[in-house]
Amino acid sequence: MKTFSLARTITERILYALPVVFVVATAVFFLIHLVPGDPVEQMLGERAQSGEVEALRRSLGLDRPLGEQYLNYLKKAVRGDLGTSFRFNSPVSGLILSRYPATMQLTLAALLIALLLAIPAGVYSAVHRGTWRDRLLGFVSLLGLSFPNFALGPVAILIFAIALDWLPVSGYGGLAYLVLPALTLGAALAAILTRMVRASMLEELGQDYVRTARAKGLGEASVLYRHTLRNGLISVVTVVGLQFGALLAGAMVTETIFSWPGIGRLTLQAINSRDYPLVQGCFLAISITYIVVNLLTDLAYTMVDPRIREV
Amino acid sequence: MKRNPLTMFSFLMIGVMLLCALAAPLIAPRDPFAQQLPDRLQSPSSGHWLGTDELGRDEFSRMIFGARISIQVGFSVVAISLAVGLLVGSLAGFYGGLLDRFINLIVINSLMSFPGILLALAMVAFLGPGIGKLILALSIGGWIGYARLVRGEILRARERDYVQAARALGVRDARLLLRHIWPNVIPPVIVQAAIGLGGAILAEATLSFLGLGVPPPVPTWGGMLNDGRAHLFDAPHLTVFPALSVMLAILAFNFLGDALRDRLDPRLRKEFL
Repeated sequence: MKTFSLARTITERILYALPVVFVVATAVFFLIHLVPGDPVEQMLGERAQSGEVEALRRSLGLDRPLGEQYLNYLKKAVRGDLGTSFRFNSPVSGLILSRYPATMQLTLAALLIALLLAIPAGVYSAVHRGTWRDRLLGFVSLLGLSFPNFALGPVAILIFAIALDWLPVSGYGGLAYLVLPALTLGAALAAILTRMVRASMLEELGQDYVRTARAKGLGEASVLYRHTLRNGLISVVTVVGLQFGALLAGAMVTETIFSWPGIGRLTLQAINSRDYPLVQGCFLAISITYIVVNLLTDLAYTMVDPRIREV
Repeated sequence: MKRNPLTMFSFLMIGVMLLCALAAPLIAPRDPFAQQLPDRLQSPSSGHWLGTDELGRDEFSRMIFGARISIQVGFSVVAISLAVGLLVGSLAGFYGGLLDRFINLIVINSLMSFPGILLALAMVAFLGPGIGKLILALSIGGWIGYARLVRGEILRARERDYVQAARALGVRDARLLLRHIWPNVIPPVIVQAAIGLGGAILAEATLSFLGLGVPPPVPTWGGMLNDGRAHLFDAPHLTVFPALSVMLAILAFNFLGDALRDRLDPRLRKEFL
């Protein structure tokens, strides 16, 4: 019975996510029609010959009626065909796939750093609630929240790469290249999660089961990390899912600062060269990633917390 | 509230920013657009308090004018988002039914499937640069938070005795909403608006940093940070000062939001954002 209901929950969640993917794909399709004037002329610039303009318009399918364009776009997108990049002269999906791993590497490293900083800091803060150490951590996390990544990145380069010469300024390679970008991207999330972990720990610490655990004579570390934190982390998981969108947007800034060859930098290059099919493909890939991550956190949540599964 | 030094700091910072924005031409010691190529990339000195940029423009004057864009975009985005959010949230919460379902399930959920800043980025990428388009792009995702908040508050207020009593007395819908319900909904909305101002300023600076905000040569803090990146080695002050000003501005609005929350909305006195 149990596995049956879990499988059903998973199927349901996936079915809920599908219409969202459809809405996003539709929105991305219509984005190109936001371009003021003629998108094809915008892409080619002022010096374009009218023959070139017409040829590109035909190859993008923009000469067809809107309804037909839309259906063609959906049909192709389902097969993974997102059109051809105008600047790179190669398939959009191939370009995105080649840059995707670098972005995942960066965002996951940022997430890991954020969790490694936030969980101990939040637990410490909650345990020492009201002391100067709690207030100091609260102040530091507010600073982290207010220091935007595009300001933090260059300042981090100034300190750690230029003044101290510990880490490379930018580029892609071994672990040393990952440290500064991941820190830059993960700092704000660390700040948010510290506050979340603290708040949910405070809530859990007031619960009866904590008193029971203490009354049983369990050590404080065991009470905190084996009992309280486990429950406290449930709400944190949801926030991580929601904040993943901010990480993906932040990746655009971070990858630009550190010349990291990911999808964020690709998006920006595409925007700057008015490579609209590539921009559309990038935004589609980023939003689907966001939807999938939220689906996964939703499922993780369901598996961690049996109360939700029952409902 | 007045005794808290952080609140005082936030008032001071926001006051300075507003003053810079309103009276930039009077305060700025030099023309922020005037290029002096022989004086390029100078360190801070008595002539140029914060040094000069790569075109020899006075960094201090550009910072003061930069506050203008931040304030202008921040306040416009919050004002538009607030107005739309208040209207849509009130209609959905007050009338409920099909209208509420449409707004809540379809419009809000689809917009939320795209994270706010990405939505703005995508809009700006296709609309092109410009301050009006920037404000539009940021407002399109911005109103959702207010609408959700207002809807929730109104749903809660609708069941209260005083609303039932007013209805029983035959008070009309519009008057009920404006005179009886809104006064209870407004305080949390003001708190969210204060925090939203910081968020809008951050978003504007992010887009300007990426070169997708207000186009040059108009000075913006994000744009100045982007210019500074090319000179991290030879002119680090071009990075440090705009970075600090963006940070202080956002910090100030976050403190203001916290202070207002304590003052206006004791129910929300929970200890996270």
